[in-house]
Amino acid sequence: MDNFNYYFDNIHLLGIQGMNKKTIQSILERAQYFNQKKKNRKNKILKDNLVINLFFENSTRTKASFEIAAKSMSADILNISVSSSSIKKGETLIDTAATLNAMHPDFLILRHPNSGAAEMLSKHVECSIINAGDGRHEHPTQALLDAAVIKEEGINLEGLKIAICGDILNSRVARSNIYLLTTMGAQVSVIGPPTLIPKDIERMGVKVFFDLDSGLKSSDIIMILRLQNERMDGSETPSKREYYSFFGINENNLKLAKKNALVMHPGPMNRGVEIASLLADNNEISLVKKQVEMGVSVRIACLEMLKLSRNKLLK
Amino acid sequence: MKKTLFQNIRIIDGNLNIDSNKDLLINENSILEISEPFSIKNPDYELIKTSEASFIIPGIIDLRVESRDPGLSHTDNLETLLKSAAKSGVTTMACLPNTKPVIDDPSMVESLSLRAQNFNLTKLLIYGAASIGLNDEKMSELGLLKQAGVVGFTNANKPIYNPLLMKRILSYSTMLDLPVIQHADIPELSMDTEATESENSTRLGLRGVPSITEAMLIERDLHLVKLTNSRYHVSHVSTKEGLQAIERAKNDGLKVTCDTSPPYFILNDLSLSNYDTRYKLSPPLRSDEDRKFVEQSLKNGIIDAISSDHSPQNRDSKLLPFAQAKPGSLGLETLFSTTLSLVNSDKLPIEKAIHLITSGPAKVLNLNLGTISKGRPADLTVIDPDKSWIVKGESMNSLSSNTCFEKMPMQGIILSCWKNGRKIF
Repeated sequence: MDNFNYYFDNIHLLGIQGMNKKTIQSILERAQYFNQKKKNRKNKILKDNLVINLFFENSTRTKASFEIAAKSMSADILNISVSSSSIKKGETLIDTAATLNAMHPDFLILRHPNSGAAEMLSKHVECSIINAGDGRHEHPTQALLDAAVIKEEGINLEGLKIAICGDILNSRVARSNIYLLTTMGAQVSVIGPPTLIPKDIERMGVKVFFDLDSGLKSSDIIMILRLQNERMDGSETPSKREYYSFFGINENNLKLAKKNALVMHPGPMNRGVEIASLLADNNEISLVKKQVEMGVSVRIACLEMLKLSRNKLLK
Repeated sequence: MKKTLFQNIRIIDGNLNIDSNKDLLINENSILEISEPFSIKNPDYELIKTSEASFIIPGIIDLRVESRDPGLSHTDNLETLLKSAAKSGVTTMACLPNTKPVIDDPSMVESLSLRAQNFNLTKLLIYGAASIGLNDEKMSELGLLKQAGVVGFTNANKPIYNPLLMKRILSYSTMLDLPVIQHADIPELSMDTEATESENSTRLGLRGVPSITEAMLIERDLHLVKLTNSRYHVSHVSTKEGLQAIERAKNDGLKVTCDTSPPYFILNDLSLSNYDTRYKLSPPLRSDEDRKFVEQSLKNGIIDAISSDHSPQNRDSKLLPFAQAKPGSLGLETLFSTTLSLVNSDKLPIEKAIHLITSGPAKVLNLNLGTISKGRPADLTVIDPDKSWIVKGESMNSLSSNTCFEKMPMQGIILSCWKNGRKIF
């Protein structure tokens, strides 16, 4: 293992909040390095390490991405998916984690529907916790991979104008991205209907737009968030077609943004709801595939970073 | 009958606005005499000597505790609750009807008060369920509950929400001259929420309820209170808007009272930053602006009393992700010290602080208590205000240990507690 310095002093990766610029830069740089070697990235960084993927919510890409990352680092990996019905059977999160902890994993990658679940677990286990999404709170590796993709495009984060569009209220991706992008000096706008914009979000250093046209104006990048179907049935927004007509991004309204503006989406996409199908498939504009690809590299970097902190802090 | 003399002791009585040294003579029932220091002399009296700094106040009266017994006695039982109260200087307290089964039947009232009496400790008063099963559908037998001894009607930690039911309960209660106690909340707005809606809840990704929810229900209720000319009390008020509504009602001459609880003048919602479930309360912790307004309302008399809002939750109910953890904090053993902290930080004069935990709550429930005067029951609490201690839930007299003041330094300890002239702590 190279002695790469991440400037990171924690054995857990719980969120972007509180992470400094230097650390973020290091992770992005390292992720880009691993991304270059993607055909030949097998290494032995996590040889003899046990990684457990513990997912209490459905996930395809994040779970697969962590699994591929861990395997390419020669770790042993165990996938556990707990459907919400099994949680109702009675075992608490702490008990599940304690059971797994007793099998001495080195890393526990957790996705959970409740905000703060990863932080809570980190106080009850010895292994390193990686937050792979906790409720509406944070999804740090997603924000890191988004930033790494932007950098990979040769775009500087400092001064960059980014609009995040959609369900900000319920989105952990939005929160992690806001923390990361504002820390790196980008100008962030959020766009969505007032029912999906949480209170006082301006105080997180972003501008709020309820109208797509003015929100998109002069943006370099538009980050589109997934809107859950159950929020478009007259509860938080009146209907799918109303949402699409006010906030759906297509090649037409994209013209309001800067020339050559790029589009990102953390997936999975609702084609024809938050993003026009044609746009989603236009690889000149859409970075969606590159996001998935970079996901693995960012997770390799994060696992390496935590492995190095464990070596340093747990001696 | 045995007589006990407190010689040259500093008496602080918030009702009479007294703070001076006296001799205080009691028997095993009531207060016999109060006179100038060293004026009472009789070798037969049991003499209680106290340090110079200590003082005596009327026994503390607590308007809001939750008894987990009957029903959830692995979380807390009647014995630990009453012992905790005595240790806290509380001589009278009123418990909510949210036991299992619910106290919506006169026999439940009788059995619980009888069991409590047998311990010969703090007097346990009981609120009757305003609606059967606390289901907010049908009115309980309010009259029979009163005959069995309840001191008010409430849906406990749920609001009386159905407007027709509330109108009827308020109206019917006027015949019984008992207050209706409200937990002011709008269930549709607070359902599945974890915190007050704020910048902090946004950052933490916690589901937020707007703080004006409290005032929304209070404002509705006040129209009904005016219509029915009833007695109405709002429990654990925690917001500026809620208090402003209550102030207007008081100025209009309505029979309205309210209390708050220590978390709402000591803590704010920034405490949630680490998702520590000890800080999950109902109502949720508010902004610092609200906290300051509560503090100010204690001073200017909008708030009539400070209640402990004692709510034991066992370890398993708190050892969960924030969204799943149960709300509530133990409150009895920190009630006095948290109230005294307002004096030590110059927010309240001491007489006023004492009033808020003695004569204030006594007036809310029309109790002939809360003051130190000749002929009144000898309910007394002796305090050492200088002694400091650190809050530790594990060492509290409860089967639970969930305090939102864990590890906080406190000042003031209870030296002894007397109920009807009998030492109970």
